[in-house]
Amino acid sequence: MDDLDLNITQQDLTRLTPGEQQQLQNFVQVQVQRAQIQKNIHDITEMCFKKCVTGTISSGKLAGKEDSCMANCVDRFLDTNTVILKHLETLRARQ
Amino acid sequence: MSFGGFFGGGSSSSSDKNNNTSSSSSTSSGFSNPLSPSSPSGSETLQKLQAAVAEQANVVNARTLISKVNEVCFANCITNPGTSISAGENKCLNACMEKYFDAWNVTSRVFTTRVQRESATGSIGGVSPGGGKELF
Repeated sequence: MDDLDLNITQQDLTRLTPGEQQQLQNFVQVQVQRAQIQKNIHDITEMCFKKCVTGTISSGKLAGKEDSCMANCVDRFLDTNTVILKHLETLRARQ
Repeated sequence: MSFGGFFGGGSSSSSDKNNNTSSSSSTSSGFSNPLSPSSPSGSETLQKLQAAVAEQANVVNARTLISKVNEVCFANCITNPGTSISAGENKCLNACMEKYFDAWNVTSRVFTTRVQRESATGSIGGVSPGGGKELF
């Protein structure tokens, strides 16, 4: 990652009001959540692209079939998560 | 092809109320008031920090995307590496890249819709806006 020169001193930080500190905290929280979602999107895209785009690539657009495969793939992946968790529950209950 | 989703626009799934500072704000660059050499106010510092954090997030997002495109399209298009990239391979790589962006947009759309729906109904794996819950 690039070193960026923020040019913010310790003193600058102490000058933040409690309200501003809260604002910063909220902002960072939203950013962290956003980053997590984007990471998921990257990983799922890679996985589903490999599943759905097979054969030689000649067009820069998803073919109709590939497009619906991508959409189904994302949805089914999320379903998988639910199924796994549900089954985990029943396994746990069986003990 | 829209690039909006990749660099900055991102998934609009959560409360973006604090994101208005992510666009470059000229007032936070430190030259706002040449007459007063005094230190920046808290709000200036806050803006600077927020802009920097958002910027870094976008950089990371863009890098992740490009590195995935590299990997996936290399695997897809350069099946038998020769002494140089052939015209056909070049064409394949370009098409693959665009197609991957297309695919990313589909994932983003479906995923975001799903997350929003599930966090609304409160089913498993949902994200509550503001709460930093993990999805998986």
